[in-house]
Amino acid sequence: MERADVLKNYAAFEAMRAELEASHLGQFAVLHDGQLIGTYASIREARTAGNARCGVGNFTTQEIRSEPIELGTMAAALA
Amino acid sequence: MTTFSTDIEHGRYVRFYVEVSAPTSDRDPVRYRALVDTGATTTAATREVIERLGVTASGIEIVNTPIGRVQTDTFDLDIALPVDTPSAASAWGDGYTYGRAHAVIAIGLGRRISDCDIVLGMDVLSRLCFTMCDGRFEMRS
Repeated sequence: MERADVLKNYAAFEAMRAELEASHLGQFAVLHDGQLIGTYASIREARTAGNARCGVGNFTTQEIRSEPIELGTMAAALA
Repeated sequence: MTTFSTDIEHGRYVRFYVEVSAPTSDRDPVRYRALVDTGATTTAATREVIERLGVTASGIEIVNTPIGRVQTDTFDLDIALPVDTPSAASAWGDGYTYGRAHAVIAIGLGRRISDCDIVLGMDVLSRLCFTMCDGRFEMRS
């Protein structure tokens, strides 16, 4: 994925985050070209669907979570 | 049921090797040392891992840090854990074979943690049965 595509998909995800959190919390969203392709129960299912519907690796995946990630002591080593 | 066990180093660290691969690449899996971190909600990998496997960002996440929330890239990886099967040949010659890979969305790290390139967070650990007792770590798939 090009960086611009990742950012475009993330912007789309952010725009629908509240709605997704309300209805699909804990699932995984697949996005392509700024559009939600679907939500899936596992990362593996999300990847399979994304590869089939968008082309291999031609999509982004976002976990639908209500809280930011906690990395504990690892946070200091973020890239 | 297969079991892996190792010492808890200095009473603090649980480290072992895992096999890491990229789901969108046909490159061979690479073995990296991993640190168990039950305080991390998500698994992480250093840039060395990400670049060696040739993966690009697959999403973006918000992460809590001591200086506030930051936005960071995520990467789709497959991580296979060692399971104790002494009768089987090991691709790495260490007496272990590696189980079915766990699909993860990993956070990118800028440097190694405790000499490890992978940090296993609760997204992976919660799929396993593991115990820590009397200085030993045991993990069952």
